[in-house]
Amino acid sequence: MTPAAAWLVVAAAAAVVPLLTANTYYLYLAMTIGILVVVAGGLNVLAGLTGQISLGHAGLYAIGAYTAALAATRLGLGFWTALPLAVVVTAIIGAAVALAALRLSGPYLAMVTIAFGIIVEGALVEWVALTGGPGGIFDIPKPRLAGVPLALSRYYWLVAAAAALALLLTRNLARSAWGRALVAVRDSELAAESLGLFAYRVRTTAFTLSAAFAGAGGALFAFLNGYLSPDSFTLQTSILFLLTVLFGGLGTVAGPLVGAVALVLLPELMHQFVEYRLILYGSLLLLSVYFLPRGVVGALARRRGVGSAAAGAAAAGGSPGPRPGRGPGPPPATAAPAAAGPRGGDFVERAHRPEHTEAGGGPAVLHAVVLQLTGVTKSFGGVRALDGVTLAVRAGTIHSLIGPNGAGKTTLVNLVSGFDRPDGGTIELFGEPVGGRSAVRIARRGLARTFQTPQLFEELAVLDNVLVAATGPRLGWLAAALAGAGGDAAATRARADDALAAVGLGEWAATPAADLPFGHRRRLEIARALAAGARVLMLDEPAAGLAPAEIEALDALLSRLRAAGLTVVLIEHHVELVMAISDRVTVLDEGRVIAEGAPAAVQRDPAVLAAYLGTPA
Amino acid sequence: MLVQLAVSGLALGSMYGLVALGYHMTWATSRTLNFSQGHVVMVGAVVAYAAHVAGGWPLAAAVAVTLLAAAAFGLVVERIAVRPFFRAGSPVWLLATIALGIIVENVAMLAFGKDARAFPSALALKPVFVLGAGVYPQELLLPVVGVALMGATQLFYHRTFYGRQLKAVAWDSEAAGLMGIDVPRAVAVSYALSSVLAGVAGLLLAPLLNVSPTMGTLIGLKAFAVAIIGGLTSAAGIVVAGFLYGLVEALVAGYVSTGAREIVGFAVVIAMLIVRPWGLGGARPARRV
Amino acid sequence: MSLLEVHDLSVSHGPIEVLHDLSLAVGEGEIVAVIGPNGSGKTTLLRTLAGVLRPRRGTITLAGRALGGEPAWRVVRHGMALVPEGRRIFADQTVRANLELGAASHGRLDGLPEVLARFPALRERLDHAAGALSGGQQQMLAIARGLMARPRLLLLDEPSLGLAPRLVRDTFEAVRRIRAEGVSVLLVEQLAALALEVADRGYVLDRGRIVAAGPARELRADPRVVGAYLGRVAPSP
Repeated sequence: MTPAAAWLVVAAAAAVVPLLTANTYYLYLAMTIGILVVVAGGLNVLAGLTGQISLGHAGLYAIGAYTAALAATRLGLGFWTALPLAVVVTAIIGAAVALAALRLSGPYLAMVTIAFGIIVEGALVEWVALTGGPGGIFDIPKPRLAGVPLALSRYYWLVAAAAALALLLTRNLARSAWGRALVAVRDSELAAESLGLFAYRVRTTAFTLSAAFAGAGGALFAFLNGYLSPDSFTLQTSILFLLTVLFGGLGTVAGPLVGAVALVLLPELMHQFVEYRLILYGSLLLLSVYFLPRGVVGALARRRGVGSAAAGAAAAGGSPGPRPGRGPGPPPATAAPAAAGPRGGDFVERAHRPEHTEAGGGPAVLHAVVLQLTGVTKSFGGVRALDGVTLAVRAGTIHSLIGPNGAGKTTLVNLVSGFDRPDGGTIELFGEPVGGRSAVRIARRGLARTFQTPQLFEELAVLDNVLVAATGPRLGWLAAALAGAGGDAAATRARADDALAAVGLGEWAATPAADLPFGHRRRLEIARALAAGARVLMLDEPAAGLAPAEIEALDALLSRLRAAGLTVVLIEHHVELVMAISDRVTVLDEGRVIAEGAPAAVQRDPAVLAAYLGTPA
Repeated sequence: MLVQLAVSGLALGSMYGLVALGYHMTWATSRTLNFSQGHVVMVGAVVAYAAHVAGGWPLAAAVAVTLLAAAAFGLVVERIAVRPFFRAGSPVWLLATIALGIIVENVAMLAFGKDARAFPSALALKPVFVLGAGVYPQELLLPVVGVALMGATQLFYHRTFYGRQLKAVAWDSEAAGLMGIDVPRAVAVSYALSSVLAGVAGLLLAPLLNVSPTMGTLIGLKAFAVAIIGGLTSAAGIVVAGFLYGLVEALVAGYVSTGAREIVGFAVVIAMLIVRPWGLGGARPARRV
Repeated sequence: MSLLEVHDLSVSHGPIEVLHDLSLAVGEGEIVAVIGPNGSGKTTLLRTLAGVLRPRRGTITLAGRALGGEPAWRVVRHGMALVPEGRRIFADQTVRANLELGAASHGRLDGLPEVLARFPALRERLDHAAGALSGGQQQMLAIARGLMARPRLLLLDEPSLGLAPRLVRDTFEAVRRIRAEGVSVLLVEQLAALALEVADRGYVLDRGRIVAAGPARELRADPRVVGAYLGRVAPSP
């Protein structure tokens, strides 16, 4: 059964429920599922796509519910005004919480969300004038359509439609550039920032969106119940929301639905054991964490065992990331990296157009200095990692940085790329000082770096990894993404395709990055840097762990990049590669430059020999 | 009234600090926490009740059994909810420990019933008069025992050989392994010790708060708040934060309202996390690339 | 039979194989140096021997006992102690506490006076915080701490790292003294010339394979050593 057919069956089954039973209890139960789907759908965006655990969503749910109830009872507003109002109010408060919370991670983030939930719970009880205290708000009028109060079965269809809408919006989001950015930030914050994405902003947006969904769910609940009391909005409720997403499948489209159905119906089926309901929830949580790290939907997807993981997951209706847009399946075993040559030529043309870097300006002038370090110092504790380093890198050259272990090479890369700040000295990129600027801003100026251990967005396909870079910070309107219009511009796609072709990874476009063979992971990092429109590339040990044939391919790739006018700063231990390909070599030892010049000269320099081998006593 | 509030605030605060010290111990050794620590407090109180009040055992025996039960719970938590996820890097242990807490709380509810029961204690019968206010001797006992235990824990860590081994594991677990220290066992021991502290807190609080299966959640959360305010890596900070939190809580409850108590307390935590997430006694961590 | 015998050791970091079918041996009372450029796998080798990493294939035998993937804390108890790269002392504890912790595998602290006799600089600073010591002193502390485990074989990972030349010489002096006391040493170093000066035998590691081996004196003159570090020098035009 194809995913589309499965969804059609589910939709039909859902639509038919009020026709099969007039029992209000069953309808109520079904609507509870629907409302839970709405809230869990939003939480799925936060916990699933963005990887942030919130244990305070009951607080947001409460704000939505009480806002709607107050709007209806105190302000006399109808359902159709109260619901959007609740969504907006909850989103605003959610944004505020996010701004506070999302600088943190792990247990600290959990604490902020728990604290928020408890404060809301307390306020619901204490602020009697507003919330009615423990007694709550009652006599919430039924929603009206064309002046007539909605019957329960009609309200059911409303809730079902809302649930369907929630799932549709999250699906659209997951497939858009925004969705890709969320997963990227989750999988590697470092890499995302090195491509120009502010992790903090992206996560805050996800949190606010999930708050909006929770607010909608709360409003629907208020009108369903007819009355509100603080008991419905406890820490346990927050845990239930999280469990729904976890059990169903984090990051999958169908997860919230499966989770909601399971968690609402299971206790009903065991109704003689109603006291054991919470034990059941606790056990399900434990089980999910042990055996179902991808939830029920993810576990089913794995069983199908279709070709590449991306295709398989998509087939089961639960895609952890956006669709790559190309045919699924493993790449054909033919093409050698060298065959990328002609295609890479297209990239040569494009590299000269700097339209996608902030620095702008004309084509790179040969021999101009693009990166200048002057007297840069950096200490860690009492140790001087860099001691007055002065270094000039010229455009269109491959400039290598070598030196014994602990010489300060990676520190230098971190300082230049913005992942750390220098203590003293200046760093200038294209003539502008960048010392102390954030990694994101430096990335947007046209500098890209790779990491000693490749930082890939493991859950995204290869092409999506590169699309994140090609899109950069230009994610478009969130609303467009939700509406399904968040696709990539043709120019962006072209840039991504070209970058992949330039490094010879074209056939791997649909493969999830996690499945890439090791030798190709570096190349993907380089492709990302190219797609981001970087004009200066800093590569940190790209040859580490590569087989000789792969190193030859790397050599060829670097030459092509240089021919295209890019500047490459290479930190390497692989001496043969360095000597063969560099225009200039700088040798660092103990934080100082001890030699600089053409490779052959450096190779013969006695100071360099002494630094590497040590002088005999 | 002020004195009364201050005394009960300090009493409660010392217990928060004790439980929070448990969070610190496991965090320092393994960068994980037992999010069901509050429920260990409850287990302490419940087991003590079952043994001493319901079972009629002499107090000493009841205390012994309580401490054993607490330690056992700690070992179970470590084995089931923490160790399997140690390598994963993700905060899955957070959810697993929460899950265990939910299960334990509800098992206790089924076994014990939902109602709170009184734990009679000679020290909580008649008030004594201190500075013109009536306080139970139990309330005076708590800070004393709390500080004594916290001091004993620090002495253990700094003065005994095994304690220094645990400190070594906290500082650099790989290097500690190279010394021949059994690191997995050290983590388990830290969980057991941390739970014993919580169990003692449960025992001491039982006469003051009455024993119920649901008493644990809020205590655990407040102790976590104290751990964050004091700094998860700073034992001294936590001790101070505990007393401060208890005091502020009591004053707010007394002069404003009991409902405001939770709100103020958790608002303080949020403020702390915004302004200084590493706590009063902690240090700003560096980002590694 | 040698004290340490390694046969066909292969170790991977995730998907990449870092050491390929490596074999070496250390005899009683020997100082053996493993030299090679960065990324050649020297530290991986020591960490695997010490039990921090597990080998994919191959055997490690210490004094006749096969160490089949045992964790580090057990390997120490069998008589092989690692002084890790970067020293990794417990900076929040005193010098004395650090030394005592070195004996955690057997719990007997009676070896302390002997060790202190070998490192007088430490004896003067027993109650200082270890973190306050200078780099050279910390290196001495790390080695002394390793000796407290009463190993038969001491593994030293880049002891010269971050030390000024004079301190490096002192360190290697200490290594000689250790051998004189009957403890064998397997020394991994980037500074090949210095390491080969103090060692009896050496192995040259390049990209996970041993490319040369033999008595230290012979290796000192071997062009393959320089080649491994700086590439084959191109002939002048």
